[in-house]
Amino acid sequence: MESTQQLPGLLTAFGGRREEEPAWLRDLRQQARDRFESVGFPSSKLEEWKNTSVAAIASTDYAPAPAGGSAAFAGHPALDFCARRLVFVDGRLDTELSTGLGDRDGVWVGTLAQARDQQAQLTESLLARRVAPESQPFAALNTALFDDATVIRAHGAAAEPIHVLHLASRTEQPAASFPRLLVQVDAQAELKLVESFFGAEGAEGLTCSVCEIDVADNAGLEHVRLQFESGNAHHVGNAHATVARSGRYACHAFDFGAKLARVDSTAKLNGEGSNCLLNCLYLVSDKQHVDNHTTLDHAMPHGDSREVYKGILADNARAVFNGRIRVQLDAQKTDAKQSNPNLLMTEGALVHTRPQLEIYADDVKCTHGATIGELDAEAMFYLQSRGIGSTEARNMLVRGFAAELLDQVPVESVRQFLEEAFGRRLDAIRTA
Amino acid sequence: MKTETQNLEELANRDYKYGFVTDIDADSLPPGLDEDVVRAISAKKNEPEFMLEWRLKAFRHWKTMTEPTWAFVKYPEIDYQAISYYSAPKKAGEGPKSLDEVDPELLKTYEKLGIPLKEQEILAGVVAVDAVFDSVSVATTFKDKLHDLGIVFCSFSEAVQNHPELVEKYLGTVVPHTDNFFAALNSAVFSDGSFVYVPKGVRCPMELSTYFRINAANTGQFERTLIVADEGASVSYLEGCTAPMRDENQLHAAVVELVALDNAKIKYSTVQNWYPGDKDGKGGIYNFVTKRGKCAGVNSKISWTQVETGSAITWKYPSCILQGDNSIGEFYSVALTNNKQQADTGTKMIHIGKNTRSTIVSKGISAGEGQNTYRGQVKILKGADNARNYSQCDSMLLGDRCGAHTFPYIDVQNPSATMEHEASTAKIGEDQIFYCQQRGISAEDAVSMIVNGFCKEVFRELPMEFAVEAQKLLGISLEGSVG
Repeated sequence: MESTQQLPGLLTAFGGRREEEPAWLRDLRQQARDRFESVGFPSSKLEEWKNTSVAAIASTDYAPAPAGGSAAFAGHPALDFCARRLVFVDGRLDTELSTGLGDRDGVWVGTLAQARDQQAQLTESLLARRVAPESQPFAALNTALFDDATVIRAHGAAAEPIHVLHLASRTEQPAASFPRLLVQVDAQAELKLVESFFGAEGAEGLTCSVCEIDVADNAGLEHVRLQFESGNAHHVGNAHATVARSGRYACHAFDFGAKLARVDSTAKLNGEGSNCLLNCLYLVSDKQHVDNHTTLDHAMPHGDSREVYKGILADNARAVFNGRIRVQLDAQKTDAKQSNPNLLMTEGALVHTRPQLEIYADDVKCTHGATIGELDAEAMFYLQSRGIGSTEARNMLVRGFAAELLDQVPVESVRQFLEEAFGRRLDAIRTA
Repeated sequence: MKTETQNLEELANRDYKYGFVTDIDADSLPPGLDEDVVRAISAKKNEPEFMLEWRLKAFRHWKTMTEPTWAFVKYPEIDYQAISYYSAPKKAGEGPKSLDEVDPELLKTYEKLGIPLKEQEILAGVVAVDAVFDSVSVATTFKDKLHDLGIVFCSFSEAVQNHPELVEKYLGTVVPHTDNFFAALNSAVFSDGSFVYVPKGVRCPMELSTYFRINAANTGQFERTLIVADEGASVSYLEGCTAPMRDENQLHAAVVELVALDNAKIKYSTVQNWYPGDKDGKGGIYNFVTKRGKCAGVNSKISWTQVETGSAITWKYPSCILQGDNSIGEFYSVALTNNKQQADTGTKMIHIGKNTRSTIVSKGISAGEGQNTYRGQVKILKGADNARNYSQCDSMLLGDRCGAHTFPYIDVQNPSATMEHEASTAKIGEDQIFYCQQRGISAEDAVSMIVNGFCKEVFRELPMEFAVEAQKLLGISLEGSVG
């Protein structure tokens, strides 16, 4: 265990004002707190953390950010993604920037405190039920320390997407925030959700987020997750979705930011004929480190899952991919496909990839594939021989590599933003 | 698939064909392990000082290690103090000089296994057998013919006596005594094994082969094999094993080291058919093996081919260290688990030199309640320019209580490298069987055809002598379901 002596500081700095909370929530927090105190920050000796060291997080003295950081984000492009949004600045809900709270367009949006009054039975059943804190020390940390959670409940077919935006400002002392998001999509309901994390340039904080999603029978959720933290920040995220009979869940993740990012995504196909899609594009350069751990857990028959994680790496960046497909004993007729292609743009980049299949049913179709390589020299030559400059040719090919994922983003404003951000990042990468 | 279920039941009920115990006096050490036991083993074998030192170093290191638990296998805890670490068939005075002097009981054992040693010696120069019965080699054939070419092919004990300089130079250079728990244990207590040295520029004219066999009760078998191919040499080595039926679990922790110098080639083939335990998972061999080859020189090549059908637990990762530029590593494997068998097997390909290439083809077949895991690593280091790897891992499931798992570890640090990994898991398609039946082929024959086709890529890599045995073994292992 690394630097367990830092724990009390972190736990006391963020552990205030819980008296008003209901007993079940206080119990939950206490359990999570005990568990985190007993396991501590994960060491790289653990298989799950083998290639990712969180020593930098464990040795930093985090404090809550001072209030009043909102002004710095005036005119931020992410504020225009969706008309209906919840905006958190340094972990605090900014009611002025947020719009569309309450119940309309088939969706109830609010905080946990509001939900306790209006959606009481929902919150207790949803909160912390499917994050296994023993294997996820950071999820336990979030449960112990989150301030207020966001609750979204879709009970009809929502026409407009909802954006949950987290902004981190640059602070004197590194700041930490613990965003928590609970999503319930009721039977037959439909929802598009954008969850995003942006940081001011130079912000050195920690974002430790947990998102729990429940998709009921025949319901559908399209989830876009953007991680654009500052290049000095640390991001540890957990996203867990459970999908019931004939439910559909799709996640489109984009990891472009943070000095160190680790995201654990789990989707459990918990009803017959459910369907999951996990897509992710990570583009990292300099000394960025991105680690994605995913699990697609087929618990019931006739489930379909598709997973495409694509990586583009430059400079001394590192990427870790650990993707597991588990097919449980009775999940017959499962069809699961996973792929993890990686593009190494320059020397010095490093990829660890571990696509894993764990299969206990016999009548299944499961495949996985992983590739690592550089740009195809023949394709480059083909373009250059037709008068296209080498940088432009390179960008065309890389754009082509990423297009599959960019094109699938279901919210147009976000898709346009991503196209531009992708182009800018690509231009900044210098290849020999 | 009613027929298939029936067949699988038959298959589960089959008895181990090779289960019997040969009754001969064994000169064994009492159970237990401490420095005195290590010294006793070394003394019994009349080893030079450097060997004893090496064993003791390994033993001291082993005591500081803990048993690994990361493999996807389950077994009751092993009491290392309850195992007898040395067992040799009793010799009357000198060791046997020819086959005629070999204990007839032993010869019968081999006959039951279908390896008529006598016949083999007569069968002009096809296969040389360095037969290992428990821990001491009792007969080595064709040695003279090989001797004329300068090839050393003998038991490890003999090599220690007659070629100590070669043993000292290469022992532990690929699998150091600190490598892992089981390799360290082996280094401390290994009893015997095979030693091959092929001198510069010599192409070994025949397939070299060893038949392993575990006999005396409660004796862990700790084989040590070392094969060195000097510059420009080439050799093909076969290893096959069967073991008698027994109710206690037996530990087998072997180490195999291969060294290929400049332009050398080594091909190592294994058919493993040790006692897998009965249908309730009782008994069976624990096969915890460390196998590794080093392509030390330029343009060298090491190729592993294995057919694993036996053992209660298989824990085995034949690996290649591709150190020399342009060196090639290959791994072809068929692993079958049935009843309660568990296999966690795969390979490691470590690319260090430039233009190194590796190929991995792994076929896993699970039946009954068998758990079959492929675990492999491909590591391409910074200096390995233009390294190339292709991996393919396919699993086939026969029955709804078995499991197939794939855990590849891929680490690439060089942008000019190309790495491809593919894996698939599926059952035999009902439509495939229907297609065959429609054309007058019975369901059993169809399954047989499909399984054989599934494994063809690997069998193709086996030497002729082994390909036949491998197909036969697979047939026995899937008896009933494949007709």
